[in-house]
Amino acid sequence: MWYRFVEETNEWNKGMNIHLPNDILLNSDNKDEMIDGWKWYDEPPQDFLDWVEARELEDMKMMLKLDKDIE
Amino acid sequence: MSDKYFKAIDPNEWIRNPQWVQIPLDNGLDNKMYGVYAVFEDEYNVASMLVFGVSDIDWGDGNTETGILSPSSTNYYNVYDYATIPGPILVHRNGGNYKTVLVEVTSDNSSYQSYFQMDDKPPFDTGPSHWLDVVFRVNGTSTDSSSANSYSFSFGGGTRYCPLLERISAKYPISDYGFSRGLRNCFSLSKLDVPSDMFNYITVGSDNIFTSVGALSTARLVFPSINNSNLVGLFSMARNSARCEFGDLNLPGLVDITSLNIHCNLYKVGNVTLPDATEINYLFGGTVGAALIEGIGIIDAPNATRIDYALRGCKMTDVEFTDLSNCTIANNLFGNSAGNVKRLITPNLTVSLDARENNLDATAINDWFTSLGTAAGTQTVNVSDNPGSATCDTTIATAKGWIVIT
Repeated sequence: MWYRFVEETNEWNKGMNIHLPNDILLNSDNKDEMIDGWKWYDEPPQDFLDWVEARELEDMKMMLKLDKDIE
Repeated sequence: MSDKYFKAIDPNEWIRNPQWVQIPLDNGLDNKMYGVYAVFEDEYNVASMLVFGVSDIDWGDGNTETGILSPSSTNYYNVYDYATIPGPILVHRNGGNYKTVLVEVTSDNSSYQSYFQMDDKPPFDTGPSHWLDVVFRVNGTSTDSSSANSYSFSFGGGTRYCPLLERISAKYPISDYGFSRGLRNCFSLSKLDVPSDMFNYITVGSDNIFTSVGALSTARLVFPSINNSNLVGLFSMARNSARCEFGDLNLPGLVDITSLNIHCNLYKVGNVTLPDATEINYLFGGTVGAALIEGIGIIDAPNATRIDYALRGCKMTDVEFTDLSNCTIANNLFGNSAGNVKRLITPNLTVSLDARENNLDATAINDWFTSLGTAAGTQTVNVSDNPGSATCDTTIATAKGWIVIT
C-alpha cells in the first residue's frame, strides 16, 4: 500500500490507488517508485502505526475532556 | 377492509396511562400548573418544588399551602402517606406499586414571572422526584422573565431529577429565564405537548439542557424546532439522549459549539444552522459504539473552520453542508469509524477529507467531487472501500488539484 506523511498537517495518507493531479496513477504496478512523497510499503511503517495510535489516544482524551467539562 | 375496525398502535406514540388521576380540561381561564405525582408503596414519598410567582399549592392529599407571597423563592414540600391516598393501585414498569395524586399550583405572575423547579431537594431526602405528567397552563403571554405574565421551569436543575416524567404539556413557551439543565435526566420523557416556539427564548445559564432525555422513553420524543439566538456559550445540548427527534436547529451566536449532541443514539435532527460557529468538531460525535443517527438535515455553518470528528461514528446516510469554504480541518469528519454515507456534499471544501469505508456509489462520489472547491495545495480525498471507488470519475477532483485515493 502507498503511504505518505504530510508534514504541514501532521497526517498520514494511505491507499492502494492514488490518482495525482498530474494524471499519474500510483498502484501496485509502479510500487518501486517514490513520487511526490508517496512510498509503497508491504507492511504499514512503524511511524504510521505510531501516528494512528497517537491519534486514537488524542481522540479518547478529547472525549474524556468533553465528558468532564459538561458534568 | 376499512381501517375503522382495526387501528394499529403506533409504537412511537405516547399513550397516557388511563388510570392516572385526570387533569382538568382547559377552561381557558386557568393560570395553573397541574402535576400528576406517583406515590409509591413502601417508600418515603415527598414532592418538593422551589417556586416563586405562585400563590397556592394543593398537594392533592388534603394538604395545601395558601397565601404564598411572591416573589419569594421558596422550597415547598409535602410528604405523602401511601395508605391514605385513594384511587387504584398501579404497578410501575419498575415493579413498584403506586397511586397517583393531582398537584395543583396556582400561579400569580401578574407582577413577576412564575417559576417552578420541579426537582428541588426537600429536607432529609435526595431520592428521585416522581412526577409523571405535568401540564403548565400558566399565563405565558410574555417571554421576558423580568416581566409579568411570563413563566419558566426546570426538571433537572436540582439534585433529584425526574426520571419517571413521561409528558410535559405547556400552553405557552417558556421565558428567557436560564434553562440550566432544564430537562436533564428526564429519562422517561416521551411526549412534549408544547408550542412550536417552546424553546426559542431560553437562555443557557449552564449546559446539558436536554441531557439524557428519552433514554428510557416509551415512545419517540419529538422536540419542536429551536430558533434561538440566546444560547451563546452552549456547550452540550442533548448528551446521551435517545429516541429523540429534533426539529430544525437555528442557533445564531454560537461560536465554539463543540459537542452539541454527543453520545446520542437513535435520533434525528432537522436542518442545522450555525451561522457564527467556527469550531464544530465533535458536534454530533458519538463515543460508545456508533451513534445511530437516523438523519441530520443540511448543516449550514459557513464560518466553520473545523469539522473534524463532527460526525464521529454517526451511522447516517446523507451528509450535506451548504458551504465549507472557510474550513481548514476536515479530514476526520467521520472519526475513525466506518460510516454508512450514501450521499456526501461539501461545497467549496479545499482541504483533505477522508470518506473511505462508506456506502458511496460512483454517482455519489462524482457528485461529491463536483461539490469540492479547488484544493488548497496538496490535499487528499479518500473514497477507498466504497461501492463506487473503482468506477468513479477521479478526474473531476484531480482537475481541481486534488489527490484522489480509491
